[in-house]
Amino acid sequence: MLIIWKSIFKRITTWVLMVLIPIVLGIIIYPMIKDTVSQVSVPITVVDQTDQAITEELLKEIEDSPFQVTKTESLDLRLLSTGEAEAIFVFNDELEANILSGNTDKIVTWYRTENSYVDGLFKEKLASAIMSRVVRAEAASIVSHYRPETEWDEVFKYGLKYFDPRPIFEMKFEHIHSAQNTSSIDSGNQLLFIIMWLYLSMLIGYFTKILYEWRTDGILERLKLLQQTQYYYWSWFIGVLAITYSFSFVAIQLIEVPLNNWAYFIPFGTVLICFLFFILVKKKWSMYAWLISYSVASFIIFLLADWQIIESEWMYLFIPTWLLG
Amino acid sequence: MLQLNNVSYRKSKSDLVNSVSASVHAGDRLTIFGPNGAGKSTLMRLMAGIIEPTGGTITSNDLLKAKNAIGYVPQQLALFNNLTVKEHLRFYRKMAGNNTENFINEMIETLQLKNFWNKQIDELSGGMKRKVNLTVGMIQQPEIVFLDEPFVGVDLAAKHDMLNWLNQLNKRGVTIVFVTHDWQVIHQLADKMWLMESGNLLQETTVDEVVHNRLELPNTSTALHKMISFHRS
Ligand SMILES: Nc1ncnc2c1ncn2[C@@H]1O[C@H](COP(=O)(O)OP(=O)(O)OP(=O)(O)O)[C@@H](O)[C@H]1O
Ligand SMILES: [Mg+2]
Repeated sequence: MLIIWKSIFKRITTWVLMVLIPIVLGIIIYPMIKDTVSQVSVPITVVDQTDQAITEELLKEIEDSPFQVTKTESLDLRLLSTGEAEAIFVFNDELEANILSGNTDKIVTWYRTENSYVDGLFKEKLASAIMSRVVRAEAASIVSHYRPETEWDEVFKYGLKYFDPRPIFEMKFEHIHSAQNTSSIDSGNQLLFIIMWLYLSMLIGYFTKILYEWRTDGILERLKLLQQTQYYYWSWFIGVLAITYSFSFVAIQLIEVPLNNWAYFIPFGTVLICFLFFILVKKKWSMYAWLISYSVASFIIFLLADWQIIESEWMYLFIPTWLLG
Repeated sequence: MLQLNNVSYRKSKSDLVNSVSASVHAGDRLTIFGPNGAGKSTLMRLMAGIIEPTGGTITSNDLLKAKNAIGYVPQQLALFNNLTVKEHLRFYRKMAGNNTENFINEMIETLQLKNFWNKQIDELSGGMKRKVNLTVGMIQQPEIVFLDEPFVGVDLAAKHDMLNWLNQLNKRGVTIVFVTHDWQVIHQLADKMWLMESGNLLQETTVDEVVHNRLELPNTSTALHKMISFHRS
C-alpha cells in the first residue's frame, strides 16, 4: 500500500495541491485573520454597583489587553444580545472586603453568550489580578499574626515583590450563559470557511480522480481479482479521510475559532459525497461537473442560510451549512 | 472446470455477449477468435469473474473458487505509470499474498525483465510494458489464465520464449484461454477455438479444423469468414 502512496506523491499535481496551494492560501488568508483579531478590541462591560476603588485598580492592571472595558453601575443583559458587550462581569458589592479576608467565593459573576469567544482571556486576567491580592492579603495576615509589631499594610505591599511568577490558581466564577441567539459565524470568517471547504473538496476531488484513473486503467479490476475483497476502497477512504482531517485540523488551529460539533463531520461528509459520485457517476468528467455544481450550489446555499434567507431542513444536504448547526 | 449457461452481458441496451453456452476444461488451450468488437474481451472478463453476467450463469469447480486461482492479463495496460517494474512486482506479489517466488523468477527470466528492472513504466517501450502487464497478470501462479491480446508489440524472441513457457505451464496442468489476432500465436498456443461475432459464440471448433478447411462457416459471418480465409490462402 505504501507503494500506492508513493505513486500518488510522485505526481507533481499532488504537491501543488497539498503544499503549494495551502501555502498560498495561508499567505493570503492568515494576515486577514490576524488583522481582524488584533484590530477588533473586544467590548467588555464591568458592573460595579457601589463604585469601589479596587475596581479601578484591577482594571488598570489589565489595561494593555485587547479589551475595551466599559464600567457601569447597573446590569443590562441586552448589551450581550446587541453585541455591544462580548461579556459582562458583575463585581460583588463587597469585593474589596472579600479579597482582603481571602474569600473568593462568588465575588464576580460572568455573563456571556454562545458567541462569546475571547472573553475567557479577560476572565483569566481579572482572576489573576484578584488572586494576587488575595494571596498577599493572606500572607500579610499571617505575618502580622506572628509578628504583631509589623504593619499589615507594609507586608501587603512587600508581598508584591514575591509575586513573580504568578501562581496557577483556580477561581470561582459564576458562569451564566445568556440564551441570546445570533448568527453563529461572523462575516469575516464566513468567506474563510467556505474557501477552506472549497479547497478541501478540490483536494478530495483530486483523489477521487485518481481512483477514476485506476478504474479506467483496469488497476482496480486487477486488485479485485487478487484480493477478492473491496478492501482497497476502504484504504482509499481512510487514507483520504486522514489527509483531509489533518489539513482541517491545522487550519482550525491557525484560525482559532471554535466550531460547533457538526462542523467536525464536514470533511467526512465531503469525502463520502465524492465516493458516492465515484460509485454512481461512471465518467471522470461527469464527476467533475457534478462536484463543481455541488460546490457552487453549496456556496450559495451556505450564504443564504447564514443570512437566514432560507431555513429549511434540506439545506443540510449542502455540507458547508453544517457549520451553522 | 468452467461452465457457461446462456451467459449474456447487456450494457447500454446492447448485448455485448449474447446467450453463450460452452465449457472450458482443465488443461485446455483455448483461443477466442473474432473481429474487433465481437465481445471477446467481455466474455473473458465474464469468465474471469471481473464482471457479473446480466443473464445466465457461470459455474466453476472448487479448484477455481480458491483464492488466486484465476489469472487475468487485460487488453489495456493496467499499470501505475510512475512506478518501476520492480515496485510493481513487489506490490502485486504482496497483494496476491502467496509464495510463488520460483514461478515469478521463471517469468522474470523468460521475459528478461531484469533489463529494465528499475525503470518507471512511462519510460518503457510498448513491448516492455506488455511484458510487465503479462507478468503482473500471472503473478499469483494461477490454475487458469485469461490472456487478452498479451503479445501485441512483444518482439519475436520474447514472444517465442513466452509461448514456450506458457506451454510448459500447460503441461503442468494450467488452463490457458486467450484472445489474439496473431495466427502464429494461435498455432503455437491453441488447440480449441471459439469463433465469435457480434456477441454470439458461433462455433466451438479446433485450430486444426479451421486451418484445414474442414469448417463450414455460416454465410452471415463475413468478417470472420475473411479473417479465416485470409489465413488459409
Ligand atoms: N464499457 C462498455 N460500455 C459499453 N459498451 C462497451 C463497453 N466495453 C465494450 N463495449 C462494446 O462491447 C462490444 C464488445 O467489446 P469487446 O471489448 O468485448 O470486443 P473485443 O471482441 O474484445 O474487440 P477487440 O478485438 O477490438 O478487442 C463492442 O461493440 C464495444 O463497443
Ligand atoms: Mg478485446
